[in-house]
Amino acid sequence: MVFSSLFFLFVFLPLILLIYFLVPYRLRNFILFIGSLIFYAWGEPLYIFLMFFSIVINFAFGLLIEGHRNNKKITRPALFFVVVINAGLLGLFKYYDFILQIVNNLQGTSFTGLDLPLPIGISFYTFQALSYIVDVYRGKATAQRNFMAFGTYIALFPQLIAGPIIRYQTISAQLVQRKEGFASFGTGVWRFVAGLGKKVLLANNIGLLWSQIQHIPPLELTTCTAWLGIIAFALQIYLDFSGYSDMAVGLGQMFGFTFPENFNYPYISQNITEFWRRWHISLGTWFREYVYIPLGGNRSGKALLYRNLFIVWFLTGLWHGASWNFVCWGLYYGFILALEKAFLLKWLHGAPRFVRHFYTILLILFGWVLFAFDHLPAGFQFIQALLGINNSGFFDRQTLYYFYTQAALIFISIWASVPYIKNLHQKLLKKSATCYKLAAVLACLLILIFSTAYLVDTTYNPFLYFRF
Amino acid sequence: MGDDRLHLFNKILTVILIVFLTSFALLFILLPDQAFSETENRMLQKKPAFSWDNLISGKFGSAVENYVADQFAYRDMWVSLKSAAELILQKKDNNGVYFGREGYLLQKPEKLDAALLAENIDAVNRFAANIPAKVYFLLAPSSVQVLADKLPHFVAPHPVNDQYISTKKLLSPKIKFIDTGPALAAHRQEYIYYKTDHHWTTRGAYYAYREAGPLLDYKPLDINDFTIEQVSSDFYGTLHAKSGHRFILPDVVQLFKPKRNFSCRVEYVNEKKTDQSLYAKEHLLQKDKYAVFLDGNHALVRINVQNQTGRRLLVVKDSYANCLLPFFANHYDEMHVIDLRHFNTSLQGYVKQYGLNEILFVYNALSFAGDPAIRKILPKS
Repeated sequence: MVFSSLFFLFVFLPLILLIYFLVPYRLRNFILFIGSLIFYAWGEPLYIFLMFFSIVINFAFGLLIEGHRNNKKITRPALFFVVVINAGLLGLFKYYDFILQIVNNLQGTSFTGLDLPLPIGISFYTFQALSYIVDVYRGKATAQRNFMAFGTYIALFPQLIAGPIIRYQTISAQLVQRKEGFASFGTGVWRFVAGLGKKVLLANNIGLLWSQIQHIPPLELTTCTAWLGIIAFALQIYLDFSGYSDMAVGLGQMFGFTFPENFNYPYISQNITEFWRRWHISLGTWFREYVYIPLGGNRSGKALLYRNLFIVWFLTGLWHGASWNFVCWGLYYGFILALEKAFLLKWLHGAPRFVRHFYTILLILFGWVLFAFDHLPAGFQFIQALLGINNSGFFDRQTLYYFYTQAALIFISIWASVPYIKNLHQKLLKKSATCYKLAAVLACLLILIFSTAYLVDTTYNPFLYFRF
Repeated sequence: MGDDRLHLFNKILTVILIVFLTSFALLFILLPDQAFSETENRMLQKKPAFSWDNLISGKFGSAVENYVADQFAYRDMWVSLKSAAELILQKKDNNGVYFGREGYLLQKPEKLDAALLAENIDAVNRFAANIPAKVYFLLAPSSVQVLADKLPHFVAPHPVNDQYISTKKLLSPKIKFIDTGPALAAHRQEYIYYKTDHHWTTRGAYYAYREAGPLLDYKPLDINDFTIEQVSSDFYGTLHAKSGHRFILPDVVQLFKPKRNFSCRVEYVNEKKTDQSLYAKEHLLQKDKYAVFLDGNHALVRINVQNQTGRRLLVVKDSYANCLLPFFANHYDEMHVIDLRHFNTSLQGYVKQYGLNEILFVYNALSFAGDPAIRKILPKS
C-alpha cells in the first residue's frame, strides 16, 4: 500500500487512527504493529514472512549480544553472523540476478536468475535492523526486550517502504513512551497534507512531462527539450521522495513519534558536499555511522580516506538499485566529493554565490541523467543531447509546446523545492495572526481536496523509490 | 509546537483531516455502487470477491484499490475538478487527446507501427490481386490531419499526412483509390468532424460520398436533395470520455435523409434481426449516439434497397463507414457490409458465394494503420 492511494487515505488511515486512539495506552504498539503488517501484506502478501523472519532473528540476536556483553568471544561472531544474514537476505532478493549477470558476462556462462520481485521496503528495513544490531553491540542502545516494541520499530508503516531510515538509538525511547495529542497531531496533519500535495499534485504531473521526453529518441531531441526534461526529472524525484518523507514524518507525528528529517531543501545547496547533507539525510547518516567511520573515516591518512570514500559511494550507488547506472551515479558523487575535499571547496569559497549555485545544480542535473537511465549508453546519448551534440537542433515547436503547457507547473514545483514558503509560513504562524491561520487552514483543505480529485482520476501514480 | 496560541490551529487541522477522511469514507459505504460511468464510457470496478488465491497473488489488493477509486462518492465531480485545475494550469493534452482550439478535442495519433501498416497494405494488395472484382479503397483522414489548424499552439506537426499519402501510394494500381483528403480539406471551415468524438460528422461523410461518385460511377445527390434532421444536440463522444476534459460543449448529430421516396431493408445477419431503417434511434438516448448509424458495428449487415440499378457492393469497413453507407444506399440495390474485427469466416468465400463484383474498403487512416484484423482478408495459411 502507498500513502498516495485512496484506499490508504479513506479506509486504512481513518480505521487505524480510530482503533489506535480508542485502545488503552499499553496496547498501542500492538495496534501499530498489526496495522503495519496489514499495510505491508496488502501489496506483498508473501514477503510479509520475510520481514517477520528478519524481525525475529534481529530481536533474538539483540538479546543474545546484550546478554553476553562482556564476552567478545560470543558477541563478535554473533554480530558477524546476524550482519551476514541481513546482508544475505538483501543480496539474495535485490542483487542475486545482477551478480549472476556479471558472472555470466565475465565467464561466458548462462546461469538464469531467480527473477524475484523486489520485496517492498527491504532496503529500508534491513538497514534499520542493521543499525539496531550494531547500536546494541556498541552499547549505544540497550536491546529491546519487548517483541511488540521491536516489531513496531522494524515494521512501522509510516516509514516502512521509503524511509526515513531511522537508527535505533534515535527512536528507542519513543517506542516505549511517547506523547500523542493535538499539538503533535495537528503539526503532523500539516506535514502530511503538504507531502501529499507535493507527491500527487506536483511530482506525478511533472513526471508525465519527463516520461514523454525520456522516450523521445536522442537524435530527435533538441537541446532545450532535453534540459526541460532533466529539470522535470529533478523536480519529480525531489518532490516525489521528499513528499513521501513528509507524509512519513507527518504520520509519525500523528502517532506521537518524532522522526528525523530526511530532506532539507537540497536544491539550494552551494556545493555537492552540502547537497549530500541535505539530500536523503537518513541514508547519508547511516552510511557515515555504520560504514565510513568504522572504516576509519578521514582519520587514517589521505590514501585510506579516498579508499573509504570509494567504498561508501560505491555502496550508496548500489543501494539505489541493482544496476550499473546506479553504481556509476554513486561513484560520480564519490569522485566529486573527493575533489571538493581535496581543493574544490576552497576554490568555491572565493567564488560568487551564483557561480557556486550554478556549479552545484549543473552537477546534480548531470547526475540525474545517470540515475534516470537504467541503460548507460542511453544516458550518455541523453547527455550528448544536453550538450547539443548529435541532436536535432537547439529548440523546435515541440520544445515551445512543452514549455508553455508546463510552465505553470514547473514554476509551482520550483517554489515547492525552495524554503521560502515554509519560512514565511512559520514566521506568520509565530506572529499568530488569526487571518493567516484561517488562510493556512483553507490551504490545507484545498490541497486535500485537489489531491483527492487527482487521485480519483488517476492515470499516472508511480512511486520512484519503490524499487530501492 | 507546544505553544498555546497554536493549540487551536492544531486542533482545527486535526478536525479537518479526520472529518474529511471519515465523511467521504462513510459516503463511499452508504452510496450505492454504480456499474457503468456514462461520462467516462466504461464499466466501473465492482466489489471484488475475496479468495485466498487472489489475496496471495496481490490481485485482491489492487482490485480493492480500483474499487475505491471507481466507486468514490461523487466521482464525476472530482474528475471535473481535476479537469478545471488542468485547464487553469494551461495543460493542452491528456491521455492521448489534444485540447484543441474552438472547443475541438483531437485524437493524438499513437506512434506509427510501420510494420503493421506495411502488412495491412500488403494484405489488401494480395487480396485484390486474387479476386475477380473491381476493388476500391476509400481512406478517411482523421480530424487531426484535416483540422491541423485547430490543434493547440506549437504542437509539433504529426506525420499523419505523410502516412496518408504513403498508404495511397503503396496500394496496388488494381485498387482504385478514392482520395477524400483534399475534398474534406476544402470544407474544413464547416462542421465535418465531431468536436468530442473521433469520427467524422454526417456532413463530413457527405463530402466523401460526393468525391467518390466519379470513381464508383454513380451520380451523387446534391446536398439540397436531402432533408437534414438534427436528432441530438447533446452528444459527448469517445474523445470527451478519454480526455477527462469536462468543460466543453456537446456535439450535434444530424441525419441526411433523401427527399425522394426511400425504403430499405437492413439485415443484421449474426444477430438475426431485420430493420426497415438505416438508423437505430434508440441509441440517441444512450451514451454512444454515433451508434445511431446502422446500430454501430456488426460482423455482417446486408442492406437491400429498391434502386433498380442492379448494382451490388461489398463494403469492408471500420466505424467511419457507418454514417457514409446511408448515402451509398441511394445507388446500390444490395450492400454487404463486413467489419473484419467481428467477421470470422473467409472473405473470399463470401465474395464467391454471392458473386459480388464490386468491393469497397472504407477505413479511417489511423485505424487502418493500427488494425490487426485486416490480415483476416487473406486465406489462413
